Amino acid sequence: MNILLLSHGAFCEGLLDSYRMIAGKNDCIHALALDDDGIATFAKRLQEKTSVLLKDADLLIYTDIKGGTPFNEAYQLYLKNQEHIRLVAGMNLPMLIETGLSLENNTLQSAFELAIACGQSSVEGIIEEDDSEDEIDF
Amino acid sequence: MSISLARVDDRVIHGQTTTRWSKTRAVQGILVVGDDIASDDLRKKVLKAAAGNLKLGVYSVEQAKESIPKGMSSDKSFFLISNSPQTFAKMVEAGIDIGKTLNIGPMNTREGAKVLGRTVAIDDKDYEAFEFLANHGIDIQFQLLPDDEIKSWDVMKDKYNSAK
Repeated sequence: MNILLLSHGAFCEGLLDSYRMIAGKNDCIHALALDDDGIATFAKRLQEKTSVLLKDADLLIYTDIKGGTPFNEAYQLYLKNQEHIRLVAGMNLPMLIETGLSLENNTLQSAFELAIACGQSSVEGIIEEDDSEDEIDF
Repeated sequence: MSISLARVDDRVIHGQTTTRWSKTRAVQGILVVGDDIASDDLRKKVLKAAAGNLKLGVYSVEQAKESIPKGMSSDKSFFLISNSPQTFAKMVEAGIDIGKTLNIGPMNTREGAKVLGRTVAIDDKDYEAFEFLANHGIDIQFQLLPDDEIKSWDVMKDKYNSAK
């Protein structure tokens, strides 16, 4: 299985760079940015990229925001090939780490579900914790 | 075996620890040793947040004399982490069993340290500490992430001695 990251501008490339820093290199994760060359070029590059990635594996696509161009283009691909593609909007680093590190152990559907669960639970407000009862229990 | 990883890491607990090492080794808690850390309440709070769901204990070398043996003989698995090899040398000197292997994670560049790799910078005191640990039969393994190649102290020592 491969993961493809799509975004407006370089977010997807930066996200992959951040992933590598924490989790190491992963040849199954790819990034494709919508840049100033425009939508037509992006659609073409996406078409080419996904046809390569789908040759002998399933594809999990993460996009930056629902309804944006990267998402819209990916959604079309998903509609045409629902057996081998899953699509997630609102990608984040915890989601990518969790799924990127467990690609071999997951099916397309289970990785898709993990991405959503992890992505949603990873957004949290942080307040100072009370650590009065914090002795480690050997 | 209940210290599943003994590691030097100048950032102590961070993404690499909690997402990578914790997936390849059993761990229920993290034991951090360092006199500088143990006396810094703010830093302890930040480490606790970084440890997430894992239990955290922070100890001075003096406190470690009591805590680390408890971790060693526990049924649970712990990571033992310090920000300096010098702390591990002090622990061994104090008679604390830290296990047979010491993993070396990031030791970023500081004043007076020789840069031996992208994430490894060692100064004279670190050098002495590694020598001391190696002479006490501890296998020192420089390895940032579980998938990375392991470099031995002998290799890094030669680098250090040939570096300007």
